[in-house]
Formats: sequence, C-alpha cells, structure tokens
Amino acid sequence: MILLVEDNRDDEELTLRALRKNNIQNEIVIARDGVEALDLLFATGAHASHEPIVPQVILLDLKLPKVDGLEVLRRLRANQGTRLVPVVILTSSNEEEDRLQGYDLGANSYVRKPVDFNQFFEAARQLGLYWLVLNEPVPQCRKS
Amino acid sequence: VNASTSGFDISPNARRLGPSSIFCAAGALLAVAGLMVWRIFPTPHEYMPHGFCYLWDRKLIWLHATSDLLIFLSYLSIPITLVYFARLRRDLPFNWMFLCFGTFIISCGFTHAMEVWTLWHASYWLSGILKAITAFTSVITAVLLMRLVPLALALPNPKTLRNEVNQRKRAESKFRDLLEAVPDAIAVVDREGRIVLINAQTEKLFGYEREELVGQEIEILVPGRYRSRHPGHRAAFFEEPRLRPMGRGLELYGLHKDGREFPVEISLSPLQTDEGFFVCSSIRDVSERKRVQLALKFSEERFSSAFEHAAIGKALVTSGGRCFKVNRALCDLVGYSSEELLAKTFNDITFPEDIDADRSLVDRLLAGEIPSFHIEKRFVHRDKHLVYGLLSVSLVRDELSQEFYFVSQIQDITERKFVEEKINDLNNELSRRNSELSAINKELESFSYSVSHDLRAPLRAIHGFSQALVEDAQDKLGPQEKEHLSRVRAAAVRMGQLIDDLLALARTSRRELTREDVDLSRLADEVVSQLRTSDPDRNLRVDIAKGLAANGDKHLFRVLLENLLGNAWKFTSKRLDGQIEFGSQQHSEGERVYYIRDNGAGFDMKYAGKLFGAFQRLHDANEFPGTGVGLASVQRIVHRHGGRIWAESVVGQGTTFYFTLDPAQDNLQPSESSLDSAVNRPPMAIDAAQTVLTATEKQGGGQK
Repeated sequence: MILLVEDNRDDEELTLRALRKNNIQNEIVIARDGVEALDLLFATGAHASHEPIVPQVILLDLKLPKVDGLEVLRRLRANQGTRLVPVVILTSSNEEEDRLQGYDLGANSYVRKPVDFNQFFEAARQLGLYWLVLNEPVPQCRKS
Repeated sequence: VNASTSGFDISPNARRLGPSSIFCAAGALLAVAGLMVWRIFPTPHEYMPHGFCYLWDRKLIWLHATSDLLIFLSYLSIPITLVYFARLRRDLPFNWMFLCFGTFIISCGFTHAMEVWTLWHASYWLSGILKAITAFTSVITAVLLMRLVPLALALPNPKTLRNEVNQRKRAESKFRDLLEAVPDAIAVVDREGRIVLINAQTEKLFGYEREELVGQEIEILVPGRYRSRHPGHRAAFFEEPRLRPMGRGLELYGLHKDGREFPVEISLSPLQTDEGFFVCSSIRDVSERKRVQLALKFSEERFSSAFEHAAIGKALVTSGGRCFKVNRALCDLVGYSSEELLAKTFNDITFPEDIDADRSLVDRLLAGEIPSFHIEKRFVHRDKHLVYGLLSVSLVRDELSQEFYFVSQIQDITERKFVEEKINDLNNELSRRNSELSAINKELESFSYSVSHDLRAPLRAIHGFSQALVEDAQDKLGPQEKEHLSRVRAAAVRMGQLIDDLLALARTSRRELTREDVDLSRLADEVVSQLRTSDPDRNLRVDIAKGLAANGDKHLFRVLLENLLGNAWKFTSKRLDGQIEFGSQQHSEGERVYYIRDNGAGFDMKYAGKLFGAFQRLHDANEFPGTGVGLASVQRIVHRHGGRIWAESVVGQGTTFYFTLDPAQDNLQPSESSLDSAVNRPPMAIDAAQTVLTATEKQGGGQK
C-alpha cells in the first residue's frame, strides 16, 4: 500500500497517472491534508473506526493544509508504530531549509516534482521500482 | 780710669759679654775703691788686726777666715748666675732687679773677703768703706724691692699663665675649627688687599693651595673684566667699614684657578685686631642656586606658555569661585576678554541649571576623597548660546599661603555633542530601517517559499495535462494541435526554469556569508567534472591553475564557478577546439584578480553594460539557452565578498571574466595589464544567462 499525502488535485491526478502508467498496481490511499494522513495512520479522528493503515511507503507533500508535511513527519517518527515507515518527501520546493529539516526529521528520501511531466513520469517509475520492488522493508513495518 | 765704663749700666753690655766680664768689672770696681781708700786714708798702725780679738786662737781664726772666704766665693758666683739668667730671659719683667741683686750680693761678698783681710791687717777704714758701699747698694735694692712688690704681686703666677696659655690655645683652635667648619669660603684680606688667611673651602672653591693664595692680592680671585675696578671698591670699604653684602644688586663672579668663572655671593665684614684692620670676606658659590632659579624660571615659563596656549580652556579658580587666571582658549570658548572673565565668578558663565551639577563632587574634592573629577556642563556664551563643555577640576594647595585653588579645564564638546546627537539620530534611523528591512526580508523569505512551492504546481499541471492530452487523444489531434501542445509544454518548462533561477538569485542575496579559506582550484575541478558528466559528448580543454584560493563563502563560490564555468562551457559549444582557462594575476597594487577565459562565441562590448542585469540576455535563447539570471547571481556573489567583476570580449573569439574577491582593494580599477592581456587573447563570448545550477539540477533530477 502507498499513502499519498497531497492537497493539490492536479498533482494527485498526475501522480496517480504516472504510477498507474508505470504499472504499479498497489493500493494507493490518498490523504488531502496532514490531519487526514495522521488519522489514517493512527486510526484517530474521522478514521477512528478503522484499523491504522500500514503503508509500504508514504509519498509526503510538504505544503499541506492544517498540519504541514514536516509536522506529519515529526509525529510519525515520534510514534513507535510508525517510527520506521519509509517516507519519501515529494514536493515542489527544493529549499535548503526544507531539505535539511526533512532529512533531520528522518525522511528516507527527498524528491522534487519536476515541471516536465516526462521527468515526473520517470521519477514515479523509479520511486515505485525502488520502494515497492527493490527495497526490502523493515521487518517491524510488516503488517502484524 | 773712666768710671762710666763700669757701674750700673751693665745691662746693654751684659747682653753681649759673658759672666767673666761682669766679674772683671766688679773686681775693677773694688780695686779702684781700695786704691782710693789707701790714698785718702793712710792706715795708721795704731789699730790691731782683728785676730787679736780672737786672741789669735788659731782654730777660731781659721773658722772665721774659711767661712768668710767661702761666703765671698759663693756671693761672687750668685750674681754671675743671676746675670746669666737675666740675659737669657730678657722677656721677664723687672729685669733690672736682677742687676740690683747682683750688685748687692757682690758687695756683700767683698765685705766678707775684707773680714778675712782684717784678721791679720787692721785696714778698718777700707773695710768700713766697703761696708758703706754694701749698705748703699743694699738700701737701694731694698727700697727698689719694696716698690716693686705691688707690681710683682700683680704679675700672674705661672699656673694662671699656663691656664691662660691653654685657654688661648683652645680659643685659637676653636677659631681655626670654626673657620674651617664655616660652609662658606672665607678670605681675610688686609688693608693692602693681600690675603692673610683662608679656609679649606676657599682652597676648594677656587682650586688653589693655601700657600698659593696667602700673601697674594685678593684680585687673583676676581675675573679679569672686574679686576681693575676692584681695588677701588676695596678702598671704599675701608673708608666705611661695616658688615654688608658685596656688590648689592650685581651679579658677582669668582675666578677659578682653571680660568672658569662661577657666580658667587660675598659678604664683607670689618675685622679689627691687634695686628691691624682687616676685611673678612665670606664667599658662597651660588651656581646651584642660579641653576635652580633658572630651571624654576623655565618651568614657570613653560607652565605659563602651556596654560596660555593650550587648545582647551583653562582657569585657576579661587575657593570662592573667582577666576584669577584664564587662558585664550577659555576666552574664545565663552566669548569674553580675559579682563571681563577675571571679573566674573565661575558660576557667572555656567548655565544656571548646571551650577549645582558638580556640588557633591566639589565637596568630595575638598574632603580629599578624590584627586579630580570630570563632568559635562553647559556654559553660556557671551551671545547667550550654550556651549557644551567637558569640565575637569583638580585641587591645588599653595604651599606658601596654605590656600587652595581649583585648576579647571574646559574642553569644548559642543561639536561632539552635536555629532553624538546626529549619530544617535542616525543610529535610531538605522535600527528603524534595519527592523523594516528584517520585516521585508522575512516577507521576502515567505514569498520565496511560497513561490518555490506554489508557482511550480500549476506549471506541472499545464505540462502534465498537455502531455496527457497528447497521449490520450493522439488520434483526434492533428499535427498542428500537437505542435501547439508541445509549445505549451515548452513554455511551462521554461517558466519553471525562470522560477528556479529567480529563487537561486534571491538565495545568493539572502544567504548569510560564512567565511573560510576556500580552495578555488579544487572547487573548479569539481564543477568541471560535473559539467563533463552532464554533457559527456563535449571534449573541451579546461586548464585550471593550481593553488587558487580565496577567503569567502564556499557555497556561494561554488555557485559563482558553476555559473562562470557553465557559461564558458555553453558558449564554446559551437567550436570543436573549445578551451576554458581559470587562473589569476597578482597586480602591482597587491590585488589578486581571478579570470575565467574561453574562446567561445563572445559578445559585442557595446552591450557590456547589460551583462550583469537580471533577465538580460545577449544571445538568442534558441542559439544558447538561458534565463539571464546567472551573471546577475555571479555579480551579487562577487559584490557580497567586496570584490568587482568585469568582462572583456570579442565576438567570435571569446570572453574573459575578471573578478576580485578582496574587499580591501575594491576601489581599484582594472589595471592595464589585465586589459592588455584581454585584448591580445582570443576574446570570448558571454551569455548573461544560463546557469550551471540549472544544468546540475537537471542532471540531479535525471538521476532520481
């Protein structure tokens, strides 16, 4: 399962398109803001009735309504259950400060979304290949 | 026989004749007397010799005869001894008395001799005459002796004399000691001007031995130019002898044996003695005193001059606050003449509000708790404007009068106050602007952040959905539509590039400088190898000088080299024999100028002014891609390091960029040598545009 945290519908559509076109068949859960992402992961708020989701990788935008991406990351890393979930920051900006903080808070990767869709497509292909196929997940992250 | 040759008047002769001659004289006297008696009184024989009276008892006769003879001999010897003594001790008083005694004793002696004679011969007349003579001399002697007794009694006895002598010796010794102990040189001079007595100080002062001076005229000690007049002065003193200083009101000088003159002070006093009238001069060397006086005078003049001509206002103020000495600078400070100022108290010129400002300090000063104090005070100028002064006050006690006074110094700090206020205003303004700038910077930062995140997303949508359209509706679109959609996509990419470059430019300004020593050669190597990786088809020759270094921000230096080397890389792309060179020149002024040279397209120097402007391009984007931000970033980086940047170029031959990174030299213009070398070399092209940052980013993106 992939958790895509993205508030921009265009970007959501394009990301899904790029992933689908690359034949990535995994379930893709979408959270449209930081709160929703945290509710999904911790089974709180609107998602309190469900089990917490355990994604293989989280694609996390930084600039989000309500709770921003870095804060989401901070809370993930502070929680024992989500401490080791792979998080790829996928964002428009390449501000040094963002990169520094992202890595500092324990992001596994930082990818900038290119304007050129062909490049974006290529980035999505490589991300899927890497995190869903090549990368061996942390044992504790396996669904218990 | 001349009786006058003998008799009483023996004393003058006795001085020259021995005792035997006195004997002879006495004998002669007796002989004469005997003869006279013999003649005048012929001895009748009717008297019996004296022996009859003794009944010619031989023993009795001989007893008398022997005794009388012995008495005679003894009496004869006594006067001889007396005369001998008198002759040797002519100093004794009443010398003539010894003569009387001598005569009387001799006469006695002869009467005893006559006694022996009359034992056998009845010369009683002669004997009687002899006795008469003896009687006469005895009576005279007795009378004289009686008259002498009171005089003799008045004579001091030997012990008294000895005491007196000792006393005199002591007195004389005291006098000598006193003379030597006197700190002044003493010279006693007689009426003729001859030195009779000096002390050791005189020897020392004038450099003579005592023997060299005693007996000489006192003028030996007087310098030549005064010598002729001196005897006149000397005579005048003897006319009116009294204790007085010599040459009152004149400078007196002594003459040393070695010819050197020295200032002296001389006191003269008359000295009346048994031996006559003398003048005692007491001479004091006043060289040291003169020197001290001179030094004091200089010191006073110096102080006076320092006081009067000091650049800051000075005043000596009595404890009552009245100025009794002011200097020029103080007069200028408050606009009064010194006469006007001396008529005022210190408070008169002080701004009323400030009069009490230093009261507690003055109290502490007077109590001796502090040696001085400094305070800022305002003073009122004659034309009523305020003068700001830095007042320094110290207390001085006059040793002579035991009074104290203040030494006040006032430095005019009006100008400083004015400047201080101005600086204060400027500082306030500066900090106001600073906080404004900070606010603007903060806004700019969030603006940047927002641009970075939000502006690119729509572009991505434009590009992505155009692409989706082409892919999904391929059959429905004609070549014309496909071409249009491809233009939309290109514009979106280009806009994304512009946004990135703009953000990079903003970052070069925003970023805080972290200075360190940076190895530029190594940095350039890294940049070039990045360029080679991203563009592996190009085979350029790149020469990077070894050991290029500078102090500055490493990250910004990298951006600078990425842009400049990236430009050179880009503008040599049309040549097969492309060359890039990075080096530096040490200029005579000590300035280090770095240069990056290529043999690429070059540009027309006519447009050099536009070179570093943001979004300014000198080449067609189709020919050489770029946004026109790179060189603007480069210039900003160079300026932030305090350096300069300029370029030389010839179209079709190449471009050289020169830059310095040393703030100390930033006022210098490019020197001749750099211009020459630029002109002689194949000049180069410039694009004010394309940044390597973009290239590396693309490359980075490709790797992901």
